[in-house]
Formats: sequence, C-alpha cells, structure tokens
Amino acid sequence: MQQNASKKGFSLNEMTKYLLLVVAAVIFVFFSILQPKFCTVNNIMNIVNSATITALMAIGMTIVMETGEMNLAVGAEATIAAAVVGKLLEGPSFNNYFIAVLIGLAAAMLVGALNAFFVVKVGIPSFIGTIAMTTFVNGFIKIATGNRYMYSQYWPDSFSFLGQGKVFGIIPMPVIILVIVAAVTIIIQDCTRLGRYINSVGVSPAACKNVGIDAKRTVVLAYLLCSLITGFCGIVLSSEVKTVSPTLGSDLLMSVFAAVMMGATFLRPGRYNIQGTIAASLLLAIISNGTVSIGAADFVDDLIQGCIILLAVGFISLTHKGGLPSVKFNK
Amino acid sequence: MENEKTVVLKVEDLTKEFAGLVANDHINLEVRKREIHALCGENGAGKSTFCKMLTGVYHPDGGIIYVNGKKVSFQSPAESLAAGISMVYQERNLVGHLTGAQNICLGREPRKGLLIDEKEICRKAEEIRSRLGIDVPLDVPVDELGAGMQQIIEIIRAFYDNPSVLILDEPTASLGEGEVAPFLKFVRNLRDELGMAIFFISHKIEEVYEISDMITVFADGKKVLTAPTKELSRDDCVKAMIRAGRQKTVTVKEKDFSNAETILEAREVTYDNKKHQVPFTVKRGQAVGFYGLVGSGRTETMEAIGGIRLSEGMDVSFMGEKIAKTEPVQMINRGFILTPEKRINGAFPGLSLEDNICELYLDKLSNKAGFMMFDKMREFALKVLEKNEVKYTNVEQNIIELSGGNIQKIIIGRSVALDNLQLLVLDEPTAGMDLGAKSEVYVEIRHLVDEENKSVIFISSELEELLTTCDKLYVFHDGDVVAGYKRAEFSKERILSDAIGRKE
Amino acid sequence: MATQKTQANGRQISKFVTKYWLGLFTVLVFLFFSIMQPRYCTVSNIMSMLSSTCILALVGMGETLIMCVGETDYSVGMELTAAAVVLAKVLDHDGMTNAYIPVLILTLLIVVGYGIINVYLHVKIKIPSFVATLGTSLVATGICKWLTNSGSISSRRWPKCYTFLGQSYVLGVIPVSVVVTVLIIAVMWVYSERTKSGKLLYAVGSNATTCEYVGVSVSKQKIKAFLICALLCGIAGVIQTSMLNSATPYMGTDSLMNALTVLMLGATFIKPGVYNIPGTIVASFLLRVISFGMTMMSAPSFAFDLVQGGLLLFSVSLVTVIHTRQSKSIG
Repeated sequence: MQQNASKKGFSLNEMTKYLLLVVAAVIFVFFSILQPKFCTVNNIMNIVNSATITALMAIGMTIVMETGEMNLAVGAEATIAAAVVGKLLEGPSFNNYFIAVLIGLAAAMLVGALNAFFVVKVGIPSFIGTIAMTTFVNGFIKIATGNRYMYSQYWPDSFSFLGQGKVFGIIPMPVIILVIVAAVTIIIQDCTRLGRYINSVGVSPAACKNVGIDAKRTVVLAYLLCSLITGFCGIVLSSEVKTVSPTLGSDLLMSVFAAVMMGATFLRPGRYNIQGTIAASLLLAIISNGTVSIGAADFVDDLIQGCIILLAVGFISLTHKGGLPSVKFNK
Repeated sequence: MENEKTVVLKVEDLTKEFAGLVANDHINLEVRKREIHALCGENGAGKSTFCKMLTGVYHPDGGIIYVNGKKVSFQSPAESLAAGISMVYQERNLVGHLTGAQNICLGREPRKGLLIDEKEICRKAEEIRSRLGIDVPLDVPVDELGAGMQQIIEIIRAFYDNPSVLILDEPTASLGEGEVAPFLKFVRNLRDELGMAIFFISHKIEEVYEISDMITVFADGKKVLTAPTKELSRDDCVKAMIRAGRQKTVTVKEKDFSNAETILEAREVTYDNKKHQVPFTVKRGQAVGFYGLVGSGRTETMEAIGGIRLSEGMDVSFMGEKIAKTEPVQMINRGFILTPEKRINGAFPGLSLEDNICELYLDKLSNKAGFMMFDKMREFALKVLEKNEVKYTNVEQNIIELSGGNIQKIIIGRSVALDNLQLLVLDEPTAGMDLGAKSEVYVEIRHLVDEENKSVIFISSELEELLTTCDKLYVFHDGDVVAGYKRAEFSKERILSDAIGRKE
Repeated sequence: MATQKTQANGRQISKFVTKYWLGLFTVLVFLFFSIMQPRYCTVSNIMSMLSSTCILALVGMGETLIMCVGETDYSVGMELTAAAVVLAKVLDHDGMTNAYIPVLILTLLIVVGYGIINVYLHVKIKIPSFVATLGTSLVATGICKWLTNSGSISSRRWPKCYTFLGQSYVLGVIPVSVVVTVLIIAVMWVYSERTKSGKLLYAVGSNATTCEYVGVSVSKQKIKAFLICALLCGIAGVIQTSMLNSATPYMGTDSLMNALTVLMLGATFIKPGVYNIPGTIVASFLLRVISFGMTMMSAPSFAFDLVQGGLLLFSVSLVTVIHTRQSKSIG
C-alpha cells in the first residue's frame, strides 16, 4: 500500500493559514502610506482595542458555528451581561464588582441555555431561533438600561478596570483578556475532547453517533461556552467606555459575523476556527480604522463587511463541495 | 484431532418485525473464534436488519443474543460496543479533517489531565495498526486518503475496544482493483494471527469462497442454511439465495418483438465521470426487467437517460432520436417518465393528494392565463385515485397521512396518466408493499404493455417478480449490463450468477 | 343520542378553532384593547392600524414566497429601504415635479435588480441564501448610508404626489395605501393559491428532489420567488417613504424580524405547517393590533420586544413541531 503523505497539500495548507495575516500586513502598510496618522501608536492602540472586542465576541460565535449551528444572539448575550452588571451596581448600597460580574455572566449564560433549549430540544432552525432570542432579550436589556446609555456615579472604580486598566503601564487589559481567552479556547478547540467533538458533530454526525458521542450535549455546551465568553466581552466593552449602551452588542454583530466567515477561509477547505477568527478580526479592524482615517464615510464599513462575507463564503462554496456546514437553513 | 473452536457470538431465534412484515424470522446462528463467517443473501433478505439488532440500533422482538457465552441485550450502539460487537459499515463514517490516528481514537481519546494526549493517540493507533499488520498512514487527515485506506482506518478503530466479534458490511464494495487482494489478506491475517471471529457480509460469491470458513445464507428473512464453505457447492449456495416463489397472478404470453418498434436503445452511458457499457433495447409493448444487486447501476443509468442525473455523455436513442444532454421536462414531454427509487422523492409532503397528482400536469390543468382549473384538477385527481384503488379519506388531505403503498400507487398512477406515454420506468415500485398490492402493480404493467401498447422498464431487486412479469430481462453488475435474457431463456440460477459477478 | 350529537358538534367546533385560531385570536385581542381603551375602536384608529399593516403585509408576503421555496431572504428590510432611498434621492432634484411615475418605475426596477443579485449569488455561486442575502443587505446598507449621508432625506423639491400613496384617502376615510395593498394582497392570494405558477413554488419548497422527477425547474422557481419578493418589498418601501415623508437608511431594521414572525404565525393558520399568504396577512394585522393596543395603553418599549420575540419563538416552535411530526410518519 502506498504511503500517501500528500506533501503538496500540506504546504498549501500552510500558505493559506498565514494569508489572512499577510493580507492584514499589506493593508496596514497601504493605509499607512495613504495617511501617515494611521501609523501612530495611538491609532494602533485603537485598532488593537477594536480588534480585541470583535475577536472576543467572534470567538464565542465561532465555537457554536463549529458545531454546525448559528448564533446570532451573541450581541444580546454581551449586552445583557453588561446591563445586568451596570444595573446591579447602580445604587449606592451594592458595590461588589466581582459578584456583579458573576451575576452578569450568569444572565448571559441563561440566554445561552435558552438558545440551546430551542435549538437542541425543540429543534427550531438556529438562525431564526437566535434572531428571535435577540429581540426577546432586547426587551430585558431595555428594562435594565432604561433604553438609554447607562451610567451611574455609584459604579465602583473597579468598573473600569477590565476595560481601561493597563498591565506594565502599556498593555491594555482587554488585550490580556483576549490573549487568555484565546489561549484557553484554542486549547479547548484543539486539545480537548470537548473541542474535538464540537468540531466533529457538525461535520460527521454519523461517525459521532457510532462511537457514542452525544451530539446534543456537545451543542448545548457550545452554546453555554459561547454565552460565557460573549457575556464577558460585553462586560469588558462597557468597562472600556464606562457606559452601558443598549446597542453595544447589536452594533458589533455584523463585524463579528464577517470575522467568523472570513476566519473560516484560514483553514483549507473552509472550517470555522478560532485562530482564523482572531486574524480576521484584526484584519477587519485595520480596514475599518483605515477607511475612516483616510476620510471615507462610515458607510464604507458596511460595504466592505458585506463584500467580505460574500467573497469569503463564495470562495468556500465554489471550492469546496457542500460549502460550510452550519450555513445551511435546515428546516 | 479437531480443535473445538469457541463460540464467540451466538444468536437464538432472533426475530424482528416491522408493521406486519417479518424482517428476521427466528434466526439461529453461531460465529466462532478464528473463523470468517460469511453472510450471503439477496437485497431485502434481512441481512442489514440482523446487523442492526447486533449493534443495538434495533431492539429485537424475540430471541436472545449471547456474546462469549453471556446473554446480552443492548439499548444503544454504545452498549453493543461495550459488549464486544464492533461493526464497520459500508458507508464511510469518519471525521474528514482529523487524522487516521485521531479518528481511530474518536470518542475515547486518552487524556493527560484535561487535555488530549496526542502522543498517546499516535502510540495507541500505531500499536493497533502494527498488531493488525497493515500499512496505512495515520498522520494524514483522512479526507486526503482513498476509500480503501479510509475503510482500513475504520477497521482499526473497530479494534480499539478489543471486540470479540467484528462485523464487516460489504467491505470490498469501495475498493479498487489492486486493493482487494491485499485487503482480503489483511482480513485473513486478523483471523489467523489474532484469532478474531469475523462476520463478513458480501454479495461477491468469489470472495466469499476465497476467504470464508463458514457460509450462512439468508432469504426472505429466514436463515436458509449454514454450512462449512468447503462442503457447500457454489450452485447450492446460489440456489439457496433465491427467494421462495410467489403466486403467479399475471399470465404473460410469449410475444414476438422482432418487428416491433424500438422505443429505447442504449449502448453506453457516462455518469460520475465513468463510462458504463449498458447495451439494452426496449421495444414497443414490451415489459423489460432490470435486475441487479444494490449499486449495480440500474437507477443511475435510467436517471442519466432521463436527465435527472448529471451525465457527461451517452450513446442512447429514444424513439429513434439520439439523446444529448437532456432536462427531465424534455424527456417527459417526449413520453419518458421515471418513478423514483426512494418513495419520499416521489411525493410532495405537506401538499394534498390532489396537488401531488396534478404537479405533473399543471400545464394541462391550467387555462391560458395560468389559472388552475379547479374542477378539472379535482376530476383528474379523483380519476387517478379511483383507477389505482388508492385508500384515502379526502382528496385534500396531506399525502403523508397515507400508507407507503398508497403513496406508491399515486406515484405510479400519476405517471401512467401521461398523455403521450411511451416508456414508463418503474424503480423498485413494489418495495414495502403487501402481496395484494404488488399483484396490482404487475397487472397494471401487463395492461400497459399488452393492451395499451406502451413500454415499461421494471427495475427491481426481487428476481421472482421480474421473472413473473417481464418479457425480457437485463442483468446489471457493477454499473454495466452483463447479460440479457428473453423470456424463453429465463433461468433463475444463471441470472443470479450474473448479478453476483460469477463468471461461468 | 343527544350526547353523541354534542360530541360530534364539539369535535367540529374544536376543529374549527384549531384551523382558524389565528383569526379568532386577532378578534379577541382587538376586543380586549377596545374595552381597555375606548379610543381604540374608532374608525380613524382602525384605519391607522390597517395602514400600518400594509407595510408589514407586503414584506411578509415577500418573505412568505421565499420560505415557500425553502429559502430565506435576510435582505427584505434593505430592499424596502433601497426603494425608499432611491426614490427619495432621485426625486430630490430640480425639475422632477412631473417625474414621479417614471422614477417610481425606475426604482422598482432597481429593487428587482437587487433581487436578481440575491438569487444569482444563491443559485449560481451556490452561497446559502441566508448568507448571500445577509451579505447583500450589508452592501445595500452601505450604499443607502452613502446616498443619505447617514441621515434622512426629506425634500421640498419632491412632487406633490410623493405623499399620495401614504397620506391620502379614498372616500375621505380609507387610506390609499390600504386600497393599494388590498389589491396587491388579492393578486398575491390568487397567485399563490390558484395559479400554476404558485403551485410550482410550493412544490419546490415541499421537496426539491421530487421536482426533478416531475420536470419542475428548481432554479427557475427560486428566481421567481426572489424577484417577486424584491418587488413587494420595493413597493412597501415606496409606500413607507410616502407615509413618513422622508427616507432613512434605517427604515427596514425591524422588517426581517417582523416578516419572520408573521409568516411563522401564518403557517399555523388553516393548513398547519404550510407557509401561506392569507395566514401571513391575518398575522400582520394581529401584530399591528397588538402593537397599537400596547402603545395606546402606554406599554413601555421593552414590552414590545418581549411580545415580538416571544411570539416568534412560539410560532417557530409550533411550526417545527408540526414538521417533525409530519416527517416522522413518512419515514
């Protein structure tokens, strides 16, 4: 029997892996030439901050997408966590930030559990289900935030720690958080049973059933894990600006979705993965920031995000039989 | 002195019934250590139901299973794995982007703390691989490997749990020419070096005789015989596989077709980028049977001709005209209609009986402005329902409420009502029907060819019904037509041999 | 003897209720609000509700057709917005006073073009319909923001007839928009239920594989569905901008959510599990009855989100359960 080492495929894989980063670097240079102010330390920090928040939320979405389901409620999960934290600490009496964060995360995970219930137990298509959930949770967000930017003078100082703190004086806390979350989730994705099953149940349900993997349980865990991360992302973001905006999640949703789609092109033949998502978040942040700094109006962002989604998915659809697993509307 | 081999798997009176149909009828069977035990039988003989009971997918309605002398019963595939029964299916069940080693350990990955121990995975996979004595790359994503190697990976995975008995379902079905011999050597090695008890399901008589120690034949859900391979002649084996005869409900006169008009003439069809030699002819007023085992290419060939399956080219003429790449609607307009093999693909679930019948005739039943003529639709639908004796409550009811047999009647009935019908291709029309309903189909076929002078191609896996109803029979094997028999030449044994691939 | 008759009657009544529950529920809710708020049951309020229902009904019908062929159109909101924005922008020039009709036709053609792009991406490039339309909606958002400078267009240069569709009355009482919409509803109703073309759409959504065997072209039907949907959404946009006397890029934000809600609810009407036009219309009216009633009773903003999200979750679950039960029986 021949040894099929497929060396050719191996190097192609390597190349595509770094394509996103290469493109990011190229575009960075491009904008720096067009607009010198782009390449300042301050601006780079902006890019990094923006990329970090997008990446955090996108990591959550990626985990669910890997199982073959969608989660468009990530924005709501993030916002509700932030809103609950803000609300709890609103008055003068309670100011235990740590406890508030725990409760906020619990609220986000409750949403994740509801998502899992409807998608796994009832069986509704995840796309519709999570869109509906977004609207539903929005009601609660409005209750908590009073439907306006939320700010309270009684918020403890620790409120802004996660978002505005700096390690060693220069590295922003959110970046540290991203590094930690990314490391943990990548390890889960690539090195643990849970991660392996998350990546297998969408791709080959029959194989999983044969070896006794519980697909339903895996999807539920994916939704819970996602909501934990995105909830935390919302808390960090509200901490950065020391305000809870009722639309903090929905503002990010499209960028996050674009990042996840683009990140899937990171791996041939087109699978969702956290590494790609992070690289794509960076690229998107560079593009977004760049277009603004050369004076383009804000609509250019939407245009670019839309084109990126279409190009990324189109590319995968055309080059891979069956396309991406979760991007099917299963009735 | 004969070494009494230990019985690893024993099955006593194992029975399974589905809605009146007995799929497995009191099966008694033993598989021993160091033995390759082959299971043979036609399609529908009960082999796959039997395996599903052994692997915990189905729950037996009667009988007992013993593994290593202990009585066992399973509620799930996981439990049967735990009991020592491992099965490798005909279709591949691997996670494409994982390596061979990772697939082998799928579901029970060894861990170091919370993390997967990749080194241990490689080591374990390698250990099983070398124990089995087979050479296959374990460090490459399996979707880059060929089908044969993927199958070997699955077999290696089956050995992860140290099974007592290994079931292989049509293992050489997806192997290429050069891969079969080494594979069979590998299987023999499993028996000799590891003393495995192997249950080997196969249609290929030559292989069965080459590799097995014992042969069991299933037919009609019953075990017909079990015998040591050495003591069973090929002829007896083939004879045992043939189904019991059925009531003859149609009489077929011998007709002379030498002067009849040629409706369909085929030589070669290319699909899935492979050329298939399919020389057959259908004349007017003729019922032609297509026999062959599952995967022999009958459905694929007719779907390619009908424009439903993508074909890269063909040498076929219909009604005297050569067929180039066609659309199904063009063939339908020319009088060629095909009923699907899977009943679900012939029905529109959620729509009414009326809609299901009339979807084929929307042009005829609507006026020039595009509006449906409801009274004409109703009339037409009721006519079809009555003519085919469909049991229904209300013409507006949802088609899924009907029984499978009645749905099939509607599918056939609406196809037959085609105005300029020349050729009706029925693909497994009697699957899952009771005897009475089947006879009605046979009568309908004869009526079409004898009285209405239409032609019918009858694709079936039940040799008996083809022998009863057809004027001519073609045998398919491995995608090609390998033999054709006129009614006068019909011979069960020879036809079955052709289908199995036995060379005379 | 008497009990048998009452039993039979009871069964008939329960059958009737299950079939027409949506309509009955609408009447009940209407009565409820009429009792709670006397101003509710006035002619002017009813006309307002009807008028508001028009937009929802048009978009809902469009999305219903798309669901009928088994796909999803995320861009219904942007199709609406694009029509409004294009109409507003083009008419915002000197010398356009008599050009309403030609510009209207141009606008509708452009929207149909939008639909063509959607269906091309789906049928030719084989991008799943939901992602393709999500991508195009982002691109369209960008374009609309560009055309409106991310604000709203409201012009004195518009011809007088600009507000005709949205703000004028027939016989002094019935809004023109209602009359126009009722006509369109009638056409769509007949089209979907009584023409050959409509039957073909349902066939594709029921089982696309079976269509191959009976000679129905799946791609042709999908093209039809996407184009008609685009046209309907375009008309909705024209009516809405006429009502508001302005056009903004955010006009269609809630459209998708609303459309999904009404078509899912509509799928429980008369023929359970089947998306249909009459059901969508009744559900549209129900949604407006509820939202107007809630507004009149000064319900807080969050209540709307809860009701809407909850309704969608409920109706999708119901339809999913119906579908699951149906597919189990065919085996």
